[in-house]
Amino acid sequence: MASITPDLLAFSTKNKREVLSQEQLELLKAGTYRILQDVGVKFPSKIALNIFSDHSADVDWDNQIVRLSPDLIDKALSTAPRSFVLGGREERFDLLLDGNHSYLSTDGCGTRVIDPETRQERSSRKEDVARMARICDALPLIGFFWPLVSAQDHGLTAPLHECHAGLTNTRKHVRGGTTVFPELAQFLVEMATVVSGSDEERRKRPPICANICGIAPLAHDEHGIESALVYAEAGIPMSFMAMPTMGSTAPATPWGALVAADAEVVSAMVLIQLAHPGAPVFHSIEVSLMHPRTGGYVTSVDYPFGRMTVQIGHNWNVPVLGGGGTSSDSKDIGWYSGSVTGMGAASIPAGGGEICGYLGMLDGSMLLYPEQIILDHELCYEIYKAYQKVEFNESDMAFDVIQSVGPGSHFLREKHTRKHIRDFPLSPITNEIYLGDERRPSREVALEEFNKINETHHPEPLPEEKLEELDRILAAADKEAENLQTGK
Amino acid sequence: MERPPIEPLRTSRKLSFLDDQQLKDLQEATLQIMENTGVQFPSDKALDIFAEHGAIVDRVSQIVKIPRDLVIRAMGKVPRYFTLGARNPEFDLILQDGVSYFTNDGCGHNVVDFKTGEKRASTKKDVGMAARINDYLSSMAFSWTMVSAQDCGLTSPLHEIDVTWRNNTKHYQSVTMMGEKICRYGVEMATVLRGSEEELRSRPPLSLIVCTIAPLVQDKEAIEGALVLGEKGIPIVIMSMPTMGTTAPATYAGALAVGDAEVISATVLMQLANPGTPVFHSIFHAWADPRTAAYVGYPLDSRARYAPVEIAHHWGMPSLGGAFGTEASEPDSWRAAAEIATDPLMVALAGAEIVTGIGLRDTYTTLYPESFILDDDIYHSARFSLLDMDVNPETLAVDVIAAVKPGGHFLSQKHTRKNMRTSMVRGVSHQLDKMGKYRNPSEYARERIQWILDNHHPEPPPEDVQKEINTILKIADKELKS
Repeated sequence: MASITPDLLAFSTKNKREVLSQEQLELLKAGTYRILQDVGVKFPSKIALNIFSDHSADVDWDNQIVRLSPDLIDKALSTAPRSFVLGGREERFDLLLDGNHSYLSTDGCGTRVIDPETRQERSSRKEDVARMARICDALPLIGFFWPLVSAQDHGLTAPLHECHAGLTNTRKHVRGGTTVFPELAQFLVEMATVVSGSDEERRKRPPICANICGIAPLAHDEHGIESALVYAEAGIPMSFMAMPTMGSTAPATPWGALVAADAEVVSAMVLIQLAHPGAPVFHSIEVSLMHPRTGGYVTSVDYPFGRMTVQIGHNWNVPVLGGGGTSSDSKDIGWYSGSVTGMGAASIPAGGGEICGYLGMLDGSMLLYPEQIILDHELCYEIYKAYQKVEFNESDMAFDVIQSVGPGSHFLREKHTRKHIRDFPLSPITNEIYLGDERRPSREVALEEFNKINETHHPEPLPEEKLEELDRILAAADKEAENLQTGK
Repeated sequence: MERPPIEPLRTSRKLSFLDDQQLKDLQEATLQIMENTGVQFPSDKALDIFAEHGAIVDRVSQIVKIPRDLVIRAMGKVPRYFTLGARNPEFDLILQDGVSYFTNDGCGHNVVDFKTGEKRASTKKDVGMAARINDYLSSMAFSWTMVSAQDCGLTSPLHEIDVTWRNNTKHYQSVTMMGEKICRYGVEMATVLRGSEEELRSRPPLSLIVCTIAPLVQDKEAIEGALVLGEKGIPIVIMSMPTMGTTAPATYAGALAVGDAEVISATVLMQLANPGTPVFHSIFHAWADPRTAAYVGYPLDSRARYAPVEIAHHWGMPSLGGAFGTEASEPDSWRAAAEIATDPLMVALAGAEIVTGIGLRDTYTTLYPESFILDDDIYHSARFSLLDMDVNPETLAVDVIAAVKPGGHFLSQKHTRKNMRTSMVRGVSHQLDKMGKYRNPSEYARERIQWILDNHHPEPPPEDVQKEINTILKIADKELKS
């Protein structure tokens, strides 16, 4: 018998705390307009350049640079929807991106895994994606499954296999699309259609979305942008994610990095709206820092970038992938990862991004420790509970009990105590961790929890005929990839 | 040597966990408990004060029932904001909306010796060490008794004051001073330090935290000590620590009502005795593990953790909020970091005026000196996340972006060289070894502690003042230890 997938829990955004004033947001927007109009963005794609040209953008064909006027930007973005749905296998797993809820996502997309059985580090495989999809299916706060690692055992079609592993192992929304050869993007659309049952249903409640990264500074990837156009035509929502690194691919000031990144994201959103008005898009910026001494990639920067990027995206009137996140640069589970997870979890309610959290990865989103997702989820759940409104009535205030106990006594023998003492659940990870008199490390308990879910949680699979159809699509995609590699 | 300035958490944004009606309901519950059930004050002095002001006093059970009119009248005298004076006037803390002043945790009784690594009972020397580290760190706006001077016997609270002042120039809040006699000596020491009673009242360098005994009992020594400080206008914190299921009802609202009644009944006494005495409100509620009865500060569901801050403000009182606590017994484990890191942002957004909790482990009992640095790092992470942003043409760098062009890089830009090193505030987790790899945060934290202990020596009180304090201590030792 299939396991039951628990209902989703979402953070309310009513505790959102803005960092930026409207004046500051407008100053930044003016900077973005200026960059897009005077500097431009590189689109190394004839398809994209033609679309821009058809809509009277200033196209420099030699350098593949497009310059956009504020009027054209505003006109194009006026068709981008503020709110839309990311579909789950059942409606109870649908994510409504309307600014009122923050849904938690897994982090992605890494390349290395600590094998759950051997505990040795190795390259990631499709089976890891599938396993993590099942684990996340059982964790109520995770609403958005982003393949945490890549299916490196599948070559060019790795992203399609990641999508397949997600769709067949969780009933939640899957971030199944990414940058692929444009010839392969259509196969992802077909997989989504099979899961949805029809074109119409796929458009209404798309079971997958895509994430397309820019190339900082101010450039896009040919395959990325052309895949995005395929997804947009099919009504599959997509986030455009800029990942500026301060000091190398972005100015060394946070604001410089944000304005350059914003220009990158906005230019792609404009293209999509010009090509397919009304296509659902969301905004995403992940700022990192070049380590001044080593040139290393630093993602945990003491700056409220998450909350700022949410405001910047919302100022363009589109949903946002971003906000508080638990992901750290730590290479192992310990003080560093714990402090980032704790601070990141605590900042989720203040962030207010529609999709955020980035649970489950270490080492700058590259390394997957199985137990990390359990630890991150636990901390996020504690914060989720800490922000719940307290409901109580007169009987909860227990006047009679207090009066009967009186000053200086105790409540141990009261019926009221027996009735309510178990109302407050203790964390299986951080509270109930004794073995005899010895405290057990949280990660050890978390690994046990991981193994338990791994052994016991098997969500209801897709119908057999849909599974077969997905296999056929994958086989065709693998064949197409082979042709692409051999140049046929 | 240069000492970093205090950097409190500042935010104009507020979190609220309770609505107005719930706050009214809780206040009504407190009034009903005080009026109908009463609170035990095992102190003739306190009972006399209540009796003189029309409270119903049962001399046999020592239970006082306080009519609501009397509560409301007395609570009208509590100041909402006041100043906590410091030895160094630069560190005076002016309580105000939107600013949270933090300090270390207290009061532990174990120290993991910094040199030997041995876990042992804390001593006066450890109190001095903690005070010195506190003095150097910008996260510490004032000083708390971090561990107790267990080698000083009955007068340990006075020795803790003495050694703290010799090692710290910020405001000191004693966690251990109890009883009329000890507190009179404490006041005398503070008067000597400040120079006059008038100065003591306007810029008190000392304050005191006293705990109640749940449910609904005051401690004789604590309350009589607090009354002594109240006479001189020295601020008091009244802290209740109800544990759901043992010393409080097993429902959240019931525990808050019991805790609030304990705090408010003591505050009323302070105002009846010395109207206008500055008092902080504080409730640290906890849970009893249903299986082991152990004290649990952080269960999975600790909703509305900072609702007590709102309850304090609803009474028109400043609040002491607790943060940073962890039940982890190791200084640097995942669990210690995770539990500690969830709190500072939340308690600042809740608006607590003063916050304690940095640096102890094992449920407020054990000091690893390096924990100061580890927790300080988390504190600053929260502080940075609440800082205002600076947006101007230099930081926006649109001209630099235009010069670099799409697909270029910023490595060769003057703007990068100028800003690169200030973009990254290197925390304990970002320290590099010779190979350019991140170092163990704990190892780095130990080095920082060693550096502070070797290099930071705050100016002690003037010689004549110290001489007089020494004399007071000698007299106190003689009187109280004999």
